[in-house]
Amino acid sequence: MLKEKKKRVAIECLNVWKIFGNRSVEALQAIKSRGLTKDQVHEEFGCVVGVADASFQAMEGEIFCIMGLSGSGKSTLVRHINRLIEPTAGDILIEGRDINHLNDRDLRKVRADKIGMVFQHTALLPHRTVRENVALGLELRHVDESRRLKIAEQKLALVQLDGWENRMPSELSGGMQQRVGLARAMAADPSILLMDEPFSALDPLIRRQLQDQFSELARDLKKTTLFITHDLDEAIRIGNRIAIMKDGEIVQIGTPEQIITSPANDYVAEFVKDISRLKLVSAQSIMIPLADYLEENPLDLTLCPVAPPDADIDELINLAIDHEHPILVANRDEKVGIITKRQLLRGIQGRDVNE
Amino acid sequence: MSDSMSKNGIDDANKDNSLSLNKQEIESLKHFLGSSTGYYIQSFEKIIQGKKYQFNPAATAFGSLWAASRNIWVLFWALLITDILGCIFIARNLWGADEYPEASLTLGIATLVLGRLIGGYTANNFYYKFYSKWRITPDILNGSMMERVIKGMTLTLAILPLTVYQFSASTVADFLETFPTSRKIASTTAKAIDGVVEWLTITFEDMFDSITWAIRGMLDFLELLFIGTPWPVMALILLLLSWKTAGWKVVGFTALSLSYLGFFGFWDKAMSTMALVGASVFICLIIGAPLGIIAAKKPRFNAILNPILDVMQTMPSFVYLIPAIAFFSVGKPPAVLATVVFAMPPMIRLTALGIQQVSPSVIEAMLAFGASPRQILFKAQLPLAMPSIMAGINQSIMMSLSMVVVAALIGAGGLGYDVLSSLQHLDAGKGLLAGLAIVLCAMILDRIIRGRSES
Repeated sequence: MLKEKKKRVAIECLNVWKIFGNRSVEALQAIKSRGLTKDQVHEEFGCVVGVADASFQAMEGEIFCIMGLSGSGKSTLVRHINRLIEPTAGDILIEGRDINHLNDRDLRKVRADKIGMVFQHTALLPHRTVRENVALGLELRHVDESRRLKIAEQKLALVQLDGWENRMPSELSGGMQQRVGLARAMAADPSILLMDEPFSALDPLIRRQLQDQFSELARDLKKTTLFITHDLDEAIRIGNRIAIMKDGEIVQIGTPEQIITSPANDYVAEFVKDISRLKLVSAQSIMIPLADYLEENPLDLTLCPVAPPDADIDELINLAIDHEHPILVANRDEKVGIITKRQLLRGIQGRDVNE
Repeated sequence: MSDSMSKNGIDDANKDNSLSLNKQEIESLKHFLGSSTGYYIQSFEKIIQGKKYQFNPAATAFGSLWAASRNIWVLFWALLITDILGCIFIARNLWGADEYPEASLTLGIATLVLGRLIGGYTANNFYYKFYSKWRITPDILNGSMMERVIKGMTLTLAILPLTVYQFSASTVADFLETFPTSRKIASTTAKAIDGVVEWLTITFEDMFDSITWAIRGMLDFLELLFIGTPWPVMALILLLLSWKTAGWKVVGFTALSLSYLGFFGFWDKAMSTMALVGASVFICLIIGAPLGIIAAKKPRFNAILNPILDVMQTMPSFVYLIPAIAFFSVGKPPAVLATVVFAMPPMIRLTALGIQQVSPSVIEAMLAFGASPRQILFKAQLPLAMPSIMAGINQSIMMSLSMVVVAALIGAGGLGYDVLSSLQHLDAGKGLLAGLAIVLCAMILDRIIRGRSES
């Protein structure tokens, strides 16, 4: 967390509203002055609220997931970042620059140079080969042909599609097409990637493979990524931080562990319920302070197995299976807490130790 | 209108436990029926139980008016027609317009009675179907029963007496036989149009002249290309084209067609026709494709263009010759222009369609990668609309070829002239040969272009 604060903010959304319909400005005023609900807005103005007062910051190099069910406004929100959709109100800053005040030419330049985008339904050009598709962004920037095709080949190799350059998109499987989409988004070497449910239309096995492949790539390339998904599992696997959206509003923003261990409301809690906690919850969030424990139970600490504070439940279970005694949590030499079997089991369940 | 021939009330209907309509449904049914509820509830019950044909005395007695009062307009029209037929036969007997008055009287009464009887036996079925529809969409029941009866009566009064009179009376009043008008209306309007055309021809003479000049230049060039090129070279080029675009089968077909044109002496005329078609289609393409693109992007422009295209497509092709002659006199250039007007609509429509069909997600992706509107058009929309545009060109060619004979009337020459002259001289053999030559030209071009859009 401390490390992230030093990083620069790559994308910032400030109180972004998007209301669809002819009377969107009036509707927004009515919401602000009279506090109308979405249904009332729809009834009175015939407008649909897509995004309601969304604010977030994505740090440089971070993978920021936006998770929500269909209709929650996540795809609408992400389209504000490259201004495929204009906000009704609010500011969007890309590396400190307000994208809403750019003229058409500058906007196209930002889109071409800074922001790559991957779509749920790939949106490849069906009349072009895979290589030409990947080179598209560079072609639009008038990069010389032999150079752009060479770059396209490199990017295709990056997503392990070398040898497929001359095929047409329709000859590729869904997963491969999506990798072409990813290569295309990276061709111009943008600093920001927008991924709009890129893996949602794939079958579970391929999806998982691509998630792993993408996580690896993202770690190496260190691109700021906004990753849209309706699947909390996916968000947790991929994201450094997650924003959860409901009905156009951002309900909670936090690291996967924060979201799992302290959901902001019942809606989030309902989502989190079925998520496996083994890899997400760390020793420090389920331990009890050493002093408290020793007051009631005298214990020879030398017999205890030792775990670092950021060890996850999975590791703790392994320790607990091999040893009779409670687990001692120690940050280097400083002994900080104790985890008994009771705490461990409650931790797996996700309930409070004292219940 | 009183339908309550049956005395059974709703109470009786409710007592019977075997009924398949429940209380709530009966309430809504009562609302639907308005009057004579008891009779119809019972009748509908029977229909539900499978007893399909029941006699409805009210429908038989009042015929189309009953149907109108119950909002069953299909039955209204059917019964009105049988009534009219019956009345016509009877009236012919009364006014003695027939050779066999007794026969027509019998026929008339039989038609009337049979129509009413069939109506009476099917009425409840129609009514039940209408009720079923009403249960799904309640707003199909409009107006009060009185309003509907008045509507039905007005229609009957407007249609029945005049029709019966016209068909049965031995001498019919003049105003009925022909539309009461004066010839002057048409002639003065025509004269006014003549004046406008004359004014236009004089005022814009230079413009019309330069258009004629440009088209003649293009035609001369194309004719030079098609006819001036030695025939073996031309044939080789056409064969190569068909091989390149469509494969060996089409090469065989093209070879056969070309030798037909050669052996029957149509070669030069066919080439001249192709030059004419080529010029027309070229103009169609350079005007039609941009219009199609604009129409695809601007809904308002499309809304204005659409009715114009409808007119262009439905107008008989001969009509295009009139303005062509008026402004450009006779010869090949006006023939090309008339052909262009006739052949352009599919070009515009298919271009617009092709561009509209490009998936919005592709456009979105292009935008996301920083494409300008021009880049989107040339790198995504036009290439993806290509099959449709090719179909448009193909259609334009076919329509141009079908216009060839018509355009020969104003001096287009070529194969069309052969067909036309053999029509004038009743020379069936020569005309058919020339007609076949046109068909073969059309098929060669069609195969080549279709092969191209499919590959």
